[in-house]
Amino acid sequence: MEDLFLKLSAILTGFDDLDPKLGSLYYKELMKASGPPFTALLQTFSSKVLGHAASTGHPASADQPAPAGNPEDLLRENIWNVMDFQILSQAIINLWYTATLKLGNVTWVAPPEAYFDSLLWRAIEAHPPAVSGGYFGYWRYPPEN
Amino acid sequence: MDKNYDVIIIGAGVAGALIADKLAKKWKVLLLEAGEKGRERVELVGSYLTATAQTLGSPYKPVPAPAKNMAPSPDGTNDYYDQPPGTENPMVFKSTYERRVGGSTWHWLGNCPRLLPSDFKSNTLYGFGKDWPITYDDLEPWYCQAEKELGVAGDHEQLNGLFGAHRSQAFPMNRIWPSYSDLKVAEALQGAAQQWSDFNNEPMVLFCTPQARNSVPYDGRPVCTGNSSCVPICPVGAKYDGSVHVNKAVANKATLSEKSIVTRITAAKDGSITGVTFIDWDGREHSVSAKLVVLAANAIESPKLLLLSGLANRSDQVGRNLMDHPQGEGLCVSREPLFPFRGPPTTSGIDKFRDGAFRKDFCAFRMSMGNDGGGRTQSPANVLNQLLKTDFGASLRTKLREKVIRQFRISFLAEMKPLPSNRVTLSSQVDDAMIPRPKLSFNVDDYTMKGFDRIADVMRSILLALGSKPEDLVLPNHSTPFLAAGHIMGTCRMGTDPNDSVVDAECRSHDHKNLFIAGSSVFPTGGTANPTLTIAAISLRMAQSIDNQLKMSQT
Ligand SMILES: Cc1cc2nc3c(=O)[nH]c(=O)nc-3n(C[C@H](O)[C@H](O)[C@H](O)COP(=O)(O)OP(=O)(O)OC[C@H]3O[C@@H](n4cnc5c(N)ncnc54)[C@H](O)[C@@H]3O)c2cc1C
Ligand code: SF4
Repeated sequence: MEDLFLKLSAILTGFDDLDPKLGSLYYKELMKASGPPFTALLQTFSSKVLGHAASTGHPASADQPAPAGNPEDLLRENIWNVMDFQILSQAIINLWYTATLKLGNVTWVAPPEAYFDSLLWRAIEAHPPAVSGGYFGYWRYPPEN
Repeated sequence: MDKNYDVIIIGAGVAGALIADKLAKKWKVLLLEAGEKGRERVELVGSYLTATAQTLGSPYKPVPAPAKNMAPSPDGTNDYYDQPPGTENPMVFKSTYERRVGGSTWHWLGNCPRLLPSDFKSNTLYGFGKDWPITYDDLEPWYCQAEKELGVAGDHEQLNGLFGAHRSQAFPMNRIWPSYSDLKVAEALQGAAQQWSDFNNEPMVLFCTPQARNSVPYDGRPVCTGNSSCVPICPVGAKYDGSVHVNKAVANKATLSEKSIVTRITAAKDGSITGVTFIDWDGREHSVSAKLVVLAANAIESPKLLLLSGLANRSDQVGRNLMDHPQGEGLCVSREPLFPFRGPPTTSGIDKFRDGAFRKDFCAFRMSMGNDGGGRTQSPANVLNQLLKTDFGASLRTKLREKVIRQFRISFLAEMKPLPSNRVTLSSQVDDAMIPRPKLSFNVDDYTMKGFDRIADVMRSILLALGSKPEDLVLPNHSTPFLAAGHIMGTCRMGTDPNDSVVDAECRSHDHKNLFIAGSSVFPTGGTANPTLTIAAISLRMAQSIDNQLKMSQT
């Protein structure tokens, strides 16, 4: 299931090199905050997006083909456009981007290591405040990539 | 702890710490601080990173939280101050401070411009406020020394002679490099139209902001590596804070007593000061005596303590003329990427609006270029939240990047007139230590409001020069509330006349010759310089006066 969560997270966030350790931490936290809907979300992702193959453990076959279309389109159709799943998906994206889980009345802040990796800063080619890892004057130049 | 000292200093912020450091070399000094020394820097940074609300105070809350908050710091507008809305209080005073060893410089930004020569004579030159009893020239050597003590990095060539402000010495460190965004803005401004006769039609040039942040390793502290979290905490100590001089003072044998809240300054019948009474965090009361007392508790706590003690107020000026630098901001989305959130929060500014004949009509101001995108108003997290309503995945990531790397914030800091009705008095409400809270009345008058319109004009032209679409502009207007600069000034002003000022040109109380007041509370006017370098210069000058006075009393 954690593996599924990481795959789902990759599509939701637009980053495919997510840290599995953080994934594991976030997975546990989401289970705690919203177990059954979260499990349902992962199951739907598995069956409707990754294809039946992933959930049964059997490879896609002639009578059960992998769903057509790219994963993002499938996710939009089967998850993003379903209100409850969308809310949960937004919370997952926010968690990866800001290291904070906000769901219903739950607010959980991840430990500092997670903050260092929060995607918000990577997306804008900066670094989280308080941890630059840079050298004096790097700010004079544009980011390297 | 000994009971008798040569000097007792109340407050271990930058002002108190500098004076303690200088005097402790020769005199027996006690430095009393209401707040705690607290945890190590790395732990404070940890608290900040994991705080649900990353407020100014978020790194500094004592852990574990004590049952009683004996030395509360304001971390909002109403959690400590008493400022009920009403006619007495047309505007909310928002600036805050940190009560801990090292004081508010823990969370300051570190900008260190000097005041201008004209700022000391605004009454003579422009007909507002009160002239200072000292001039720029009096303070100039002390500014040089203050720049060395705090470790200010700056561009001597650029600033030498600014509106007549000569500099007799270079900065101790070369400037902090301007950001990529500054360079782009400077480029854009070269072509921008300059049609302002009230500002002499001169072009707008970006100057490197002098700042107490290391551009090379300095004074045992590392170079700034652009962590961008100076407010509320520098994780490596590249930014100066008051703990630097507290440590030096202690190394010079000053006695530091944390968690010691002074409740009263005591005086003999003849008006001479005898010492102070303080309580510790367990509520026990202590009395200590000294030949001389320095009050350095900041521009809200210092007048509060004088009012509590019933001292130094023959002029009825204690607590009056409370000032801040009203601040505001303009936001836009630039045509070209500027790559914010890299490096110190601001590295350049525009100084040309700090002086001119226009000051007869409306306020002077200084502009700061942000390196922080849309700042707090349109933070990356807010942009993310907006986009999340409709987007996810690669499209979300791309849109977020495209927007945030082009966001730009320019802020201004304006001068306000000292108004006697802007005031610190004692509230009927008390804090956990049973000490009255400060009650504040605050307003900003038309002189500053009028300046707002001109500031908005200037901002508009800068932001449009960056190629922003008009619909992406956000500009300050009369109904936007001021932002707080954290520059709390006035309340014990210096002057020559004991009937309308609290201290003399040496910052000695007119009423009590062995009581000195340090910090921005002595400023008669605020100018457009962030106050701390001037606080430091005056403190160093005062330390010499105190040394002389103590020597005289020995003979
Ligand atoms: C967000 C922010 C950004 C800022 N940025 C800048 C900047 O860029 N440039 C600049 O020049 N300035 C800046 N400032 C202002 C700067 O922080 C202050 O000017 C400076 O810290 C004042 O120093 P001080 O020693 O006078 O007072 P403080 O630092 O406030 O120290 C006073 C000390 O006295 C203690 N005290 C108070 N009452 C008692 C009592 N009864 N008994 C014992 N001790 C007591 C307090 O606990 C405190 O530690 C900023 C402020 C803020 C809030
Ligand atoms: S930019 Fe970072 S390293 Fe530099 S002074 Fe600020 S917090 Fe410290």
